[in-house]
Order: sequence, then C-alpha cells, then structure tokens
Amino acid sequence: MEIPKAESEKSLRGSREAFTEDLDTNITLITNRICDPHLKRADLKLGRRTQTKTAILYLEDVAYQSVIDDAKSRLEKLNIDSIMDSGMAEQLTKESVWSPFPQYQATERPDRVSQALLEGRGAILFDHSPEALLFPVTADSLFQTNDDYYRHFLVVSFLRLIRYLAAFLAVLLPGIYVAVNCFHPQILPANLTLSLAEARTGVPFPVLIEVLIMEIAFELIREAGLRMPGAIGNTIGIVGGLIIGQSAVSANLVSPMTVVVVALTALGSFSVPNEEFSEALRLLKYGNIFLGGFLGIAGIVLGSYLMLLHLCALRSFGVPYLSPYAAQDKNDYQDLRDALIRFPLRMLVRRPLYARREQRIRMRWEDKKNVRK
Amino acid sequence: MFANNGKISAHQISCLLFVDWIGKLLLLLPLIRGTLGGWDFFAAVILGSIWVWLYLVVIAGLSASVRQSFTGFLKERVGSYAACAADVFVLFYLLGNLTFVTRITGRICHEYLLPEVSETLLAVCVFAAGLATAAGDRQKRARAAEILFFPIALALAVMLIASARGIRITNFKYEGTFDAAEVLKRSGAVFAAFSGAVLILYETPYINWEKKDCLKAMRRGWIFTLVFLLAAFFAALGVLGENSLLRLQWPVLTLMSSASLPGGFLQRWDAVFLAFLLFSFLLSAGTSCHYLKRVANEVWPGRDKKWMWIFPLAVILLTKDYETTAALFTRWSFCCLTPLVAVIPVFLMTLERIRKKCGCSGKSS
Repeated sequence: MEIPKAESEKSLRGSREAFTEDLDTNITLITNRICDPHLKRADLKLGRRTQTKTAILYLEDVAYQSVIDDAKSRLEKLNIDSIMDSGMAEQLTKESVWSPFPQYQATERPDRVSQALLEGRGAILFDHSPEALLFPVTADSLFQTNDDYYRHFLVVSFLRLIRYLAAFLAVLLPGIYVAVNCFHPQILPANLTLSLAEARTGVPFPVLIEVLIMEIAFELIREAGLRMPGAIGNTIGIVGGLIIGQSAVSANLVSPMTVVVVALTALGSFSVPNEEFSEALRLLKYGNIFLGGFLGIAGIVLGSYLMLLHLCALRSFGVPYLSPYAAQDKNDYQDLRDALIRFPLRMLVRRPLYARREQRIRMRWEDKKNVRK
Repeated sequence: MFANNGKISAHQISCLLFVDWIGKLLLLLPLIRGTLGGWDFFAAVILGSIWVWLYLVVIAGLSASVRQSFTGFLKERVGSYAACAADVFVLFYLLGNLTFVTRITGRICHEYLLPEVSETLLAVCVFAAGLATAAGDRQKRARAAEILFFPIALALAVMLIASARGIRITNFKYEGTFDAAEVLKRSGAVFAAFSGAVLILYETPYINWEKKDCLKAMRRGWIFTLVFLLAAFFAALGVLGENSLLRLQWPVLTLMSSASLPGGFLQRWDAVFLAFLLFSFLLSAGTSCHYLKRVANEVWPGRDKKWMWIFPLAVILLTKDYETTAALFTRWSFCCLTPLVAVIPVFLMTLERIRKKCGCSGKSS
C-alpha cells in the first residue's frame, strides 16, 4: 500500500510519511521506527456491527500501566453499534464532555506517534482511520510539532513563542479590539484613536456587531473553502478574503481596521499547530468579544480568568492539562525545559511527566560523551 | 499518579499566598500605613515582619499536628462549642474579606476602567468569578495561582521599573519625628494584613508537605509579597512625594498611571497593569469563597449548601458602595475579627506546647 504524505501536519524537516487507512500498515510504520521488544499492542474490536479493529500501542516499561488500562477500559465500555472513525471514539471516551478543548491529541504522523510512545504516552489506532489518538495530552503538547526536535533550539523556541502569541491573538484580539473601541480609546495614542474613529465614519453598526459580522463572514468563507474541491476551495478563499473584504470596506459596512483585526485573528488561529485546539480557541473568542463589548478590559480579564480556571480543572488521564506550567514540581521543574522555550537537546535528559518515574532519564551523561567522541 | 491526588504542593501554596495577598495589600497600603512618614513606615514594616514571621512559625508548627481536618483538631483540643465559635469567627472574617475584595475591585474598575458600568454590577461579577474558583476541586485554584504568579509578578516589576524613572531623591528626605507608639500600632496593621495565613490550617490535610516545607512555602509567598509591597511603597514615595502619598486613596494606581515605558506605544499603561492586578483580585475573591465553602462545610456538615451563597451576595449588595464596605472592613474585620482569628493559632500552639510538656502527645482526628 502506498504511504501518503502528511497533509494537515506538514513539517520543514523530518519524515513526510502519514498514516494510511489500514491499521496493520499503520502499526508497521510505527514498529519500523521503534525496534523495542517492550513496544506492546493491545487489540480491541469496537462497535457491535462494525467490529472496527482498534489497537492501543505503548512501551510497557515506560508508560504507566494504569493509564493504558484506563484507556482500554474506556474503549471496552463503549456499547455502540458502530465506530466509523477515531473522532467518534475520542468524543465518547473523553473525560470532560462539555469542554471544547481536545483531550486526546489526534495526529496523522507516525514519527509523532513514535516520539509520544517514547515519552511514555499511549496511542490508539483504528482501522479505516488515518489518524492516531495520543494520550495523555497537555495544552503545551498541542503547541509542539515534531520538527521542533529536528531544528536548532533557538529557532524552535522563537517559533513556540510565536505559536503562543498566535493563540493569544486567536482568542483575545477581537475582544480587546472591541473593548478598546467601546470603553478605552484613551489607551491608544491620540493619532491612532483619531484615525480609528475616522476609519469608522459612515459605518452604521456598533463595533461589537461589526466584528461579529466580519468574524461570521470569515467562518463562512472558511467552511465554504473546506467543503469545495481543492482548486475551487482556494478560489473561494481569494474571492472571500480579498474581494468581499474590499467590497465590505468600500460599502462602509465595516472599517478597514476591523478587517485587519479579523485577518490577524484568523492567522493566529491557523498558526496553532493542533486543529482541534485552534477550533476551541475560535469558539471562545466569541465569548471574549461579548465580554469585551459589555465590560471592556475588565470583561476580557474575567473571560481569560474563567478560561484559565477551566483549563486548570481539565485533566487528561490524570495529567493536569496545563502541565508543565501548572504542577511544575511534579517532574522537578524539568518539563519547563521543553515548554514555552526549548532547551538544547543535550539538556533534555528527562522524559516528561507521562513516563514512569524510574524511566524518566532518557539520555545519560556517559552516552552523551560517547556521542561527542 | 501524576498530580491527580487531590492535594496541592508547597510550591503552589507560596504562589497562592502571593497572588492572594499582593493585589489586596497594594491597595490597602494607605490603610496599613496610616499617617506614618516614609521611614517610620519602613520601621513599622520591619517590626510587623517579625510578628508575621513568628506567626508563620506558629502556623507551620500547628500544621504538623493537623492531619484530617482543622475543625476536628479544634474540637479535640478545645471542645465542640469553642471549635464552632472559632469557625463562626473565621466565617465572618471571610465574609468581610470577600465583601471588601469584591467592592474594592468594583470601585477601581468603575473609577479607572469602566465609569459607564455600575460599581455593584462589577462587584457581583467579581463574586461570580469567586464562585467559579471555589466550584470543583481545590487543585484548580492552586494551579491557577501557579500560572498567574509569574505574569502578575512580571507586570508589577515592569511597572515599578517603568515608574522608577520618575523618582526624585529629595522625596525620600525624612522630615517627621519618630513616633514609637504609632510605629508599634502600624506594625500590628502589617501583621493583620498577613493574618490570612491562618486559613492554610484548613487546607493542611490537602497539602503535600512536611513541617519544614510548610514554613518554606509560606515564607516564600510572604517575602515575595513584602518585597513588592515595599518596592511599591518606596517607588510611590519617590515619585509622588510624602504629601501626595498621604492624600491619595490608592497611590499604587496613581503610580501605575505615571509609569511609561521607553518606546511604549500605549498612552495608558495603568490600564494594562491594572488588568494584571485584577487577576489577583479575582483569585482573592475565589480564595475567600473557597474557604467560606470549606468552613461552612465544617460547621454544618452533610447538606447541600449552594443556597448559602445568597448570604454573601446579599451582603455585597447591601453594603451599597466601597466607602461603606471600607468603613465596615476597617472597623470589624481589621480591628476586631482579624486579631481574634490571629489569636486562635497562637492559643492552640500554646496549648500544644503545654500538652507536650505534660506528655499528652496525639494526632488530631
């Protein structure tokens, strides 16, 4: 079977391979990368009618057996007629049903899965599904890409900061824009405030409605572009982004600054490596727009605080979702070396929190000396 | 496994104490200081710090004896009625704290950010955020504090550095006469400001620590707060001068508005700094709600007490505005309830010492 190239998780460096829709081929892609007798596979069949072949992969000496057993029992408990894709199993087995944030990490890359297994995580693969589900997951792991470990640490650290900034823009920028426009124009320099006011001359809607119109228009373009075949989808993007945006500004429906803010927000949401996480941020953005419109900056602080509380309460298989920023001391502060910024690979001697305590050391000083020789 | 043990760590406790204290104390600065001159206040802080230090040692010592519940420990040592009375005192103390935090946040938001929105509505929003913090497990609050610690400390440090450019050395010149009695009185106010540390005893059974860690964690939170408090005070004294400092209601907020960053794009940095400080108020309201819930559970165990939140809400609504709350808070909480609450651990520690001397050692239920 031909191995496809990764489409949704592209990387500049490293393997281009992606999973196929055949379970056995996918498992082979992983076993080709990890030649370790400790790599174990637990097979299951899900769905009364579909009997979908499912496999849980893990390194038995590195991963916590209790975590693997937990995942297995959640899957075994499913009494449903069919499991058509990994997404269904993900929805049915997640801990916090109402949370918009992903509690598994879906990936199409075998090298990502291999890396995760070596960190002590588990992976669930489904037949007829080209994506594996990694567990446990933290918000920080959703900001990382596999080529983060193939490139220079300074470049990667910079890119990670950019991704966090992107997430911040995706969730807060329109809200802050509305808050500043409605309640705190005096925060900005006088000339900018004047030019903003001038740009809004003739726009019949309040800023809140204006931003909502543009955000919803953007969602429409995005959805239309996604459902259309490749070439037409691109055309829709160009027509929507350029022509409709320009026309809306010319017709005085929205101000140019609003278009800039919405475009920056969209860029921010595209820069978050994990699509599910980005979608959650997109959804919460609307809450922040309303809070910014009604309570200004205090509303944005309130929204951010509530979001922080929600994320602090979330867990994935017992791991705090905001680890390593929360529960920092659980792995002796070592996980912070591979978080917002990434230390040089030589200094990442420990596995993350997911791994068994006795297996936390993944690189030893003696080994490093040998490598240098 | 992992951090899913329902317990909070010593590191999280120091973050919790810092985030809980810093916002309140920065605004309470004039209240703590009274009419003391700059260096007299410094002397009062140093003296007050000695009381606080001794108090933290007492709490750390007691925390080693509390194993399952502080109320249980109280009942065992002083009997049910006295334990219940102590819990009721703490409940009133917390109610005062919550009302004060919500009202002061409502007022500063109304005055500095949102003159269009009612102060009471803003206070109710802060209360709602407090309820959200108290809902669910205690680890949520601890993790939030752990994450908020760095941004708040960073924002305050930037604010202090940015405002330091406006410091005039002449403002530090000491012109008053040293009033030992006033210094002693104000050292008591410094002590009262940190007396909330007693609440840790209610959390002790859910904290992963030994006696040494406990003292270390509390000391870390306290020292961080004290350093920022003193830095803010001296920056305000240097920038605004003695006379302005005595007249201003919230000198730290005035200091924020005087801060400007070189090459800074924004005109009003105070709004940004205040936004960071708001996180501290929200968590502080959450801390009061959390302990209200916990202590109420100890006093009236085994009932669904969600309806009890009507009381704090009613108190917040009935206090009308910040001035009423501040007057009540100063009169009742600061002068009456705080000293009483502070006496509880000292009394218990003395009792523990006597028990040990008599050879009746034993762990609480």
